[in-house]
Amino acid sequence: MNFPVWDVPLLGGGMLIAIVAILHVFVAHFAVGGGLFLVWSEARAYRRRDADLLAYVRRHSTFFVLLVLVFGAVSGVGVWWTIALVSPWATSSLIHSFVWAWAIEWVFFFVEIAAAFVYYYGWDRLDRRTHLAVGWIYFGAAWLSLFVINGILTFMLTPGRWLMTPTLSAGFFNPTMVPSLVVRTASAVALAGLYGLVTAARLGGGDGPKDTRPPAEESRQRLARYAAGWLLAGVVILPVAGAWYVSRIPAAARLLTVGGAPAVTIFAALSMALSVLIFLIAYFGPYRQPRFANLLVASILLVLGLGVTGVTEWVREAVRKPYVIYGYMYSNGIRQADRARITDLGVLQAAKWVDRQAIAGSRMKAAAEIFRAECRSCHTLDGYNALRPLMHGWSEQFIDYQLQRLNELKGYMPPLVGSEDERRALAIWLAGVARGPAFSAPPTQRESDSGQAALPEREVLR
Amino acid sequence: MNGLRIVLADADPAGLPAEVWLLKGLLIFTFVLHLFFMNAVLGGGLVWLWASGHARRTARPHAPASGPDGYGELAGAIGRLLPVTTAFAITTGVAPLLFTQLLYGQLFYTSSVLMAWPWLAIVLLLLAGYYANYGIAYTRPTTGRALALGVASSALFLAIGFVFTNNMTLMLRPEQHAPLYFASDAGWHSNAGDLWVWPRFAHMLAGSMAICGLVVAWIARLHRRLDPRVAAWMGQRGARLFGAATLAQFVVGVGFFFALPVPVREVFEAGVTPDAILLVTGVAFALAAVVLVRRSLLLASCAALVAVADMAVVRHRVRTLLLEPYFQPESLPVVPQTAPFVLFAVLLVAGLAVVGWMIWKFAAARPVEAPTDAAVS
Repeated sequence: MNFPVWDVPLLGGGMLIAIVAILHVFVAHFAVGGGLFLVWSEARAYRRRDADLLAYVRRHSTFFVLLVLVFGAVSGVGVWWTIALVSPWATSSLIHSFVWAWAIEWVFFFVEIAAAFVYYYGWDRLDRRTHLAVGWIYFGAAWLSLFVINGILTFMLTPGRWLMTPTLSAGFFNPTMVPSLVVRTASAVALAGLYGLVTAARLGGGDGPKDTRPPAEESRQRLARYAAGWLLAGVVILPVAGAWYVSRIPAAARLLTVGGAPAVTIFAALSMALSVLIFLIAYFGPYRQPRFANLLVASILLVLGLGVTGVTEWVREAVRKPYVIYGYMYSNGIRQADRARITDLGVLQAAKWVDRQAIAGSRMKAAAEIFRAECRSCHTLDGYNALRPLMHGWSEQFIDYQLQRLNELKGYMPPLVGSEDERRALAIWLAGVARGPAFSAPPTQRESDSGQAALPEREVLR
Repeated sequence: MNGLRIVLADADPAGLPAEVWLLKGLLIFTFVLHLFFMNAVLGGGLVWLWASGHARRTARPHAPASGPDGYGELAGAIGRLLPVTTAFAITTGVAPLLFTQLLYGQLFYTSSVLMAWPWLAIVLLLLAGYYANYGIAYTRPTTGRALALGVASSALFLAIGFVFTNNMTLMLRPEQHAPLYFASDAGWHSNAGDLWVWPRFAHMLAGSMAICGLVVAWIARLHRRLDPRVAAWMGQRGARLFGAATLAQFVVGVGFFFALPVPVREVFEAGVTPDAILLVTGVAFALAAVVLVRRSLLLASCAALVAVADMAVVRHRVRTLLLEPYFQPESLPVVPQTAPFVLFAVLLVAGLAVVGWMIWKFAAARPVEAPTDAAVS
């Protein structure tokens, strides 16, 4: 309520963040693991005098640069853009608390991008040793970038000591920082293998100089098996690291994954099921029977990989509810410490972005403003996480009862803050929403029908 | 009355992690870095269109014979550079935006939400423009495909620049925020109706062309494989572009100056004040660069660097003056995070050293033939 709320129709802000973030993570982890894959494989090719592997790594580096430097970097900016629009209160908090961590991450990002270009354009220019050194610099910078972002991300769910001592180090070195780092590193290795399978599967016959000519079928199978090995190595580590991570998250968040919230539980189970499926397909397919390592199998694995990334990241975000920063700030931007003050003052008085002129003397407009300030950052009326279908058939009294105990009845929802009169007004407005679309349009035309008295002026006007 | 009501978000309770002067210094320093790469992308795309257009005409089978020129080489060199400059325009753009959000988040987040869709569209425009630049780099400049990619790239980056200009000026208009938000919270607002947005955008565009002129001249100087005559021609073209765009900038700049909100303009017109001196110094260095460019590219580039840095400070002063009645970062509480800042500073120096080492190794190495089988054995 400190910042204006953007009305994202149908999708809702949360889903918009999810779409951008999931696509980014699916490529950003590859940016880390893929960097290791490139330099490790190049060194292996030199060591084993494997011309086919070297040719493959070189071709793979083109794919890597086009995906990682463009989509990976721009979608990363996209995540920042989206969270700042949907949740400016949390973005502001993360930037103020961790600006030097972000700045350090920026240094690593800068080195990473420079190294990627020098590595890519240096194939025919740099000597072998320097080229490998640049490859390792790339991977080091990429992993360190992940290290920094992981610390800030995990802080949001487990701020730990930061709640008592709000220093950068207290928030950064939080209870889930290390387990999450292991999960993400393993995921990066797995994705390196997954994308490696895609490029290996695309190798076919052709002419040209030996260094760029696609290898024979036998070599192609060998390379596919090699990439599948990376995928399996990552996937094997994931459940162990994942269990470690889950053991360190708050008990209330863990409960959401084991029945506390059906959708979260289903997605958590789906995350495990998809991981097992990827392991089985990769092991019995490209690893054991590399002749089946074709584009179809690689594409299926890629889709499953995107699926498991999506559901896992979604669960990670969902278990943090009702908070955006656990124990500090609710997902609608209200700080836990401000709860009592806002309840005393009334949300319409406390909120910054309330159209005071419009709500003067209009109870329903006031209720619509309360909805905008407290609910709209997560809920739409008719789209994702929609209220209308959820409340279909609910009476005004039942809605009011729910609003009084939101955080008790639904553990993943923040408490409604504000005065009793504001809550009742919101209940009436929501009951109208539940009745049909006509009600949720600007309420001016229907106020006279509602028969409700305006909120007392002292409550709606500063 | 809504129209007169100023709504400003409360400051973050965490406070600023360093003194304001340091954060402002970092904001301006990183913004200047970003400006050079951003100019090279925006101006580079337009110069590529111009050069490839000439190259296409001379590449026609029955084209009239013309003197020795290097339009094809110029388009090729600029085109190959575009993916790299785009990457660094993005990378260097992250830091000033970070410090902007830190210092001016109370205004910036609000203006961004007001124009949320155009602002978010930047991500898609950037993605498309970046891929288009890769397409240009790997396509022969004289083909129709390359032309389509070039037009798309320039249009996309111009659109990005315009949206940026809108948000960076809308955030300076807090008196507009509440009325716009209460009129609609759908995120479709812009600041295009504000008089000074258009000359400000034109100012940035002319600056991009000027800096790109210097880039062209440096390509001519540093490109080893260029025919000396073509290199000389390219160097002249770059210098001429820099001079013409900088002179055009004076016209645009005067227009921009008079389009500035009156209270701000009056500060710069109030006699021999630090602000006026700052403005005049920037103009003087730009003029000096124009005079110097045909004699010494290095000196001209240094003068242009000073002019750009100076104008970045002027830009910051305009921001400060416009916001002064409503908001001053100096009023925010400071809770210093000294150790993390020192770590950042050390890593920044180390990171720049590593990047310098890589560039040095790359520049020092001679291109070699593609490795053969024996090369890996």
